[in-house]
Amino acid sequence: MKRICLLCIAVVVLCANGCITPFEPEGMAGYKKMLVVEGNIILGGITTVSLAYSMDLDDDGKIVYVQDANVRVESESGSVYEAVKVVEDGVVSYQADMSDAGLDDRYRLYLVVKGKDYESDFVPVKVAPPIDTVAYMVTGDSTEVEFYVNSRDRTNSTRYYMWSYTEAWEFNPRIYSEFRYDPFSKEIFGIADYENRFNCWQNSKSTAVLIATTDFLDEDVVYRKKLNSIGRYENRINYLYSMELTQYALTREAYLYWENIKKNSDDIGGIFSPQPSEMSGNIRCVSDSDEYVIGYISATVPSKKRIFAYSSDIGIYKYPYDCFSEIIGNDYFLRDSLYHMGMDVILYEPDTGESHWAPKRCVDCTIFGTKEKPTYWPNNHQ
Amino acid sequence: MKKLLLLLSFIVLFKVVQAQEYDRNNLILKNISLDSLSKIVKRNSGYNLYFGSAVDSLAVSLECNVMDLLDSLPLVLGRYGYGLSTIGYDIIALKGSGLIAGLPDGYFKDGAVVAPTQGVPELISANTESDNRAENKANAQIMNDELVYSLKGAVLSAESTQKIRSTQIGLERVRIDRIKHVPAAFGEADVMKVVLTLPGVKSVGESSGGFNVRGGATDQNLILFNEGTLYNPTHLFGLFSAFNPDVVSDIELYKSTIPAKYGGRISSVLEINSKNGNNKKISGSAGIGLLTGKIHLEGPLGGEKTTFIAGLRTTYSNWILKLLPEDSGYNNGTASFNDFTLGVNHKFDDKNYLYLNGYYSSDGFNFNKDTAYNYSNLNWSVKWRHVMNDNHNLALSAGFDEYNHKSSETGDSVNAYGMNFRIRQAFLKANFSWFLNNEHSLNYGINSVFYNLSPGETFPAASGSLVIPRSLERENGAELSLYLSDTWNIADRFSLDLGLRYSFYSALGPKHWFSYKGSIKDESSVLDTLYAKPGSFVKPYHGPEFRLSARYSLNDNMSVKVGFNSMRQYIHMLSNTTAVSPTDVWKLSDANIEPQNGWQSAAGLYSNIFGNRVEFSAEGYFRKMDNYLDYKSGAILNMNETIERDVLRTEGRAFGVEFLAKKPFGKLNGWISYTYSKTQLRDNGENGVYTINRGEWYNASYDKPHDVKIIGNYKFTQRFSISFNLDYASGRPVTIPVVKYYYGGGYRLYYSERNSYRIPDYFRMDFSINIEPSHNLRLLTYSTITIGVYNLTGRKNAFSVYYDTNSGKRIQGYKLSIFGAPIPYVTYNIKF
Repeated sequence: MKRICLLCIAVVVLCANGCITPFEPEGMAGYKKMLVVEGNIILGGITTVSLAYSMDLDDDGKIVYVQDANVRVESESGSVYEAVKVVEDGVVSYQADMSDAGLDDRYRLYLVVKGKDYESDFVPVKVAPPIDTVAYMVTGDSTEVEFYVNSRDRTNSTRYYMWSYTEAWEFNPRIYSEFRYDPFSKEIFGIADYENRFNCWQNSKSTAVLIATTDFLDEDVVYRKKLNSIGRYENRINYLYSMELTQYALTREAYLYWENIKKNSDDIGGIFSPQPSEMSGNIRCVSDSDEYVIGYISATVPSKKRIFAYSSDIGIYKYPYDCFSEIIGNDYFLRDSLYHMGMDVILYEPDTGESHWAPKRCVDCTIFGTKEKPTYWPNNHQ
Repeated sequence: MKKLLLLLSFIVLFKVVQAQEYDRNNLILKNISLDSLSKIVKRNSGYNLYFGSAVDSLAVSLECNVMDLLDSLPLVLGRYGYGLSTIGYDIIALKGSGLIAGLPDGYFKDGAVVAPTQGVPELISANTESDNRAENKANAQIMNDELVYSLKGAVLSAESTQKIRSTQIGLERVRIDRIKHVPAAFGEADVMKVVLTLPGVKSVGESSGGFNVRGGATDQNLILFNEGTLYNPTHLFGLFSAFNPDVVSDIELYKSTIPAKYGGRISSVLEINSKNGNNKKISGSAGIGLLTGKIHLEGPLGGEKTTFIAGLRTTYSNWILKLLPEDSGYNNGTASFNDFTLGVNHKFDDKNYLYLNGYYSSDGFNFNKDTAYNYSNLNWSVKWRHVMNDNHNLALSAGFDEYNHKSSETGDSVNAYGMNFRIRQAFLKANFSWFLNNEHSLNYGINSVFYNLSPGETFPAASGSLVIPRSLERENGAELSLYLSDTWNIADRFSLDLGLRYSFYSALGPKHWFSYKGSIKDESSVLDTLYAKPGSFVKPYHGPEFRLSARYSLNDNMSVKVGFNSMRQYIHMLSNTTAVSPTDVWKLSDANIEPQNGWQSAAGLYSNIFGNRVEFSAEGYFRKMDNYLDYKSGAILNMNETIERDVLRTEGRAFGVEFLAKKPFGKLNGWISYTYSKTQLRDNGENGVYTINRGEWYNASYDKPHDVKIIGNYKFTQRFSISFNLDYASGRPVTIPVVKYYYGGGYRLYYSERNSYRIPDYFRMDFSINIEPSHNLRLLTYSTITIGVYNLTGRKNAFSVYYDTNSGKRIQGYKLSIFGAPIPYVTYNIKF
């Protein structure tokens, strides 16, 4: 059930300059590194496990992955699924094909890292029911749109849900330009359609812990579980937004583990916040019982659903920038000045040499995204 | 020497009076009888002044401003050899320096200015010299009776020697006039916040409802308003306390030697006493502040034998919510609270008195129209005080207390739910006091409490909601205690207080519960499901509680005391938050949850210096507690039928020293205290498995080793005074993360050692100006304006520190302050 925010009164009102101020506790660096095991055993698909180490709080370097590990999934009945190392965009993972693994078995993860053995508990397979709907709702004041999921398990056996999503969006700047300025030659050229700076795409993944339980409900129904919220000025709802939601079914223990992570991240620091505390996962170091390993492995058959939402249907998008334009004559020096001021060319009269310029952010979508269109995209924009 | 000092101060006082010759509030009493003096004191202060050994012919003289009447009493009566003590609203003047503790209730008859027939504790033989001198006076004369009008809340000085003479250790008493002069947030005179200024009392932070006494937890304080037990005496989530200051007379906090007649909590007893109604005429007061409006009325009800007092306070604090930023989503909310107090006293005759008390407070909040939140307290009690004979008294009381909270969340129709919690208790107490002889006075009695808890129910709160209605099995319990204590004056210099309380408790059926194999309680260790029939014992617990203290006077102005007390507690607050939250639920001990118990030993040195004008005390203590409840990770505290599987048995230890210098009277008055203390807890583990800090000792959340408090008031004139507070304390321990890790698409935090880090030290200064604009007695009303600033320096004291993981890779630390700016306020009060 939703926690009631009791505090907001006291906290916000009584501070003229804000009650929440940045603060860095001292002397917290140098805690020992712990192995972090993340991933789910995915039945009927590819199990992807990533192994990394914990970091100091003020560390803003990259994630340190375990490069050389032996990873396998074992079933209680004795089957073994070896994982192979895959490196993609600097992300190291270990993947095992489990397309033909049976659902009635129980599974565990087994790792060998730097000569030490780690294993998880055997966990049962939880099959996620199909996702009912993924839809959106505009907030009362029309400043935000919230995407939510509805789900239902008619057998009333799922009860503990988790979701993650990938999202992608196509967006356009205010002004379509058919021209391009070349800063070296200081010339302006016409461009082909496919070179446009008007259609761009961007993508992202969920970062929040998205879980819900229907334990206290009469039916196993997830109703309007909020997945994200997008403000009216965000590119994500500029033209076309897409979300692919993956739904997992969890055991009660796994749910409690994730809930604790969520509490420790999101609910800390308020007046009525609970004391943070750590909950052990289901992975342990066999070779060294004192070593603490972070992570909880579940076995699941996820369900997925992709939706698209057009900005025109959502209806709240507002373009955030002021897009004025400047007209200059055939003057290389002025072109160069405008270019270096962050302007981009939008119109060019080759006959007179006169050109129109507007702020780059109003013209060039590659500032905020790329021209890489997802393969599943439902239009022929380029 | 002492007399000289007294005389000197009297001369100084006299000079001041002379300077204000034309002030109509000057009271000049010459050679009046003690009887007249009693009446004047009664009329001006509401206090009864009794004389243990009155001499009819004795006449006293006194010149002072009416405001100073009570201030002056010890000086004036001191000249005639009387020492003053107070018991409730009674000031007892006895030959000698004070009264022995434990005098039976009603020992001195109302209005009588005569000595009881026997057993008067004459501590020091009569000072014949001053009596003779007094006898020479004649012609009792009151200059102008009409000049002395009702003034309530003057400083009472009668207890200046009580700390030295009594056997009590760790007793703090604060009068409401003092409380009213302490600057507080929003200018609300706040009973509970003043408790926090006393040495040995801490809290986890501003705006947290609970307080911690000498290392005890917040649920280990017994809070009594008149006779009733309060479970959550705060408004607005703990921002201020739920007592109307105009009906409160004083507070008493027992930190160490807890009288045997009290029990049920292992840390302290906080008694809040309301005033008795004025028996002459209807009078009252009203006030407005930034957040609240209040009114109180008191007076006789058809004759002098029956009086009433009633107070009502309510808020118009919705504006506070309107100040919230729009994007917080809460500025459409509403908040309301109110509290109502009623007291009716009736005197049947000199031997029979009846007291009726009622109290109700409620708080309600709505956020965003679909989140509602309410809690309320209800108490009523009736007490019959009966004087059995000159030496033997009975106080019989019965009452009912209730605390409940409700919340509902109706944001979406499918998940719309409501949740209720309620605790009810009925009590019956018979307290006897028996003044056996000069050496022994006994208190004995029997107390019983019946508990009935509705530990939780949830229900669908909208049509279409799929929430399953659920209701946890009611909890019932009965507690019966017998006690006997003897205040034994072995010699003038040496007295003992020997108390024994024996308490029996059992949860009562109907109740279902599990029995477990071994000490690990979880689903797999369940042995059996058991059931107790209605009214039958689930599991009885019983045990003795010792309340012992001894006092030895080194001389008239100095004494040393030692004490030991042990306590048992059969009800527990389930909370894993650091601050007391209005969603916290309570749980009775049962077959699987053992009672909490604790003991404390303490010793102290007490001295009055500078001619009784400054009270100095130093106390040290060590205490232990067992079976305090902490919780496993992921524990669910609401709606949990098997909470025993989620609790961790925890033990605690605390020690500390407290120094207090208090100057109760004079132009400059107030106190300074310094405390050094340490409070640690330890997870007791289950079969060698420890959840918190590997079973090692760790600091409690309210462990603030260094603590300095200064509470001061300076009277420039009778109409104009300033008050100031200074509060410094070490930062409290918090649990902060030690590393981060990437998991589930974002950075997460890993917390290690419980309470291993301290937030920055706390420092706050407050200031207020109190103006009493008119003393003109021809006015019908008498008004007071207070202008002040809370947190003068605007220091952003940290309440907590935390990390934000939502802003990408870099994890930013933040601190949260509650009052992060100076908060100015104005309050206006009138009396009529």
